[in-house]
Amino acid sequence: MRIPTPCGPVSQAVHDHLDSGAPLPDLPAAPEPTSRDHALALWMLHELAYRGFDGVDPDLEWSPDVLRLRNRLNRDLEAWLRQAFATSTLPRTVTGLVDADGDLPGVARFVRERATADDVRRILVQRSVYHLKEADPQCFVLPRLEPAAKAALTELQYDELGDGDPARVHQHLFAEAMAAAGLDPTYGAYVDEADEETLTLNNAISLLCLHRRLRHAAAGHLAAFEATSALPSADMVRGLQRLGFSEPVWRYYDEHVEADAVHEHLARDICDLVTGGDPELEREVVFGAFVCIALEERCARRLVPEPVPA
Amino acid sequence: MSSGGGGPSAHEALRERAAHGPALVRGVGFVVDADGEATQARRPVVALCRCEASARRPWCDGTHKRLV
Repeated sequence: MRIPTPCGPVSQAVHDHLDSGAPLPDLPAAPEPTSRDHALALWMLHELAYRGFDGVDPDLEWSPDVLRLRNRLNRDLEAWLRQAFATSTLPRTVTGLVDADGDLPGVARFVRERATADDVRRILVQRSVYHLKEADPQCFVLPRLEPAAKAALTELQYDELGDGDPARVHQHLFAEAMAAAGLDPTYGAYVDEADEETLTLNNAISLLCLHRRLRHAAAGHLAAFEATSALPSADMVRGLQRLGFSEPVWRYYDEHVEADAVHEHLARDICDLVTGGDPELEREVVFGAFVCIALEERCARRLVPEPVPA
Repeated sequence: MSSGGGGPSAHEALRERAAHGPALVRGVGFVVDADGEATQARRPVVALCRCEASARRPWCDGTHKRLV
């Protein structure tokens, strides 16, 4: 993947640092975690831990300058998420958050009922930023867990990653869906088109999964993600079929109806195993679930137009 | 299958079963239904529908959550 196109001073500085080694400046004191400029900068710095960028020195992943800026942007993002959690009126349990999500008008219901083919392509473009690396962030969580939780997460990840069949790796299924929908299936192809909400959602997953300290929240995020997937995936299948999209486009979602009906139970077990009933750790799990639901809802608000009054 | 009927007690029974969610089973090769029809399992852990409301029986598709 080439380095994304900058959209402000911080992402420009990161771009130039990766491209030509130009020094990274200190950030102003005021955090701006929801500016697209900061979100894109953090996304680029995280990406050094995944697939990196064409022509960029892979050692920059661990460069002190990169880590200093990455830590600052991550701190700003985490502080914003913690504040949102503290002041949120959403329920304070994983089950309550998952149930609340079912009542929100999400992307899947929009696709099922009234999206156009162009709306769907717009949604796939935004989703591609995560779905083309789906399950990758959680791989970083594995070595940080005790054996029981590790075995449970591995069981889930093995299914995400195709059960030994490369053709069934979920990332691969999504790439096939992109191509069949007339879109570019290349990893990272649409980062330049990614909304701030999409980048922030991705950054939050990397934040939780790349920090050992946040492994309980990472488990909570996964539990909420999996538990809010099966029924909406069925809605996506119906919407994509309604619009006449070909089988490879809806196969990714079709696979998730059954897969995530399993995964949601595995992910709940993982949460129980990582906390061992410790109330403080359970709060972290709920925080992670909140991050999932709140940021998905934020993306949905961006992606779903208001219905036209009859 | 005994999910027909539709009286209040049938609904109650359906809700009761739905509240338990699916059965997670490991190492399944095939699931054979009451009519002898076999469905191959494609994943190491499967979720078997227990509420009989899934559109993808024998597999769970999450529908039970809309019944409770």
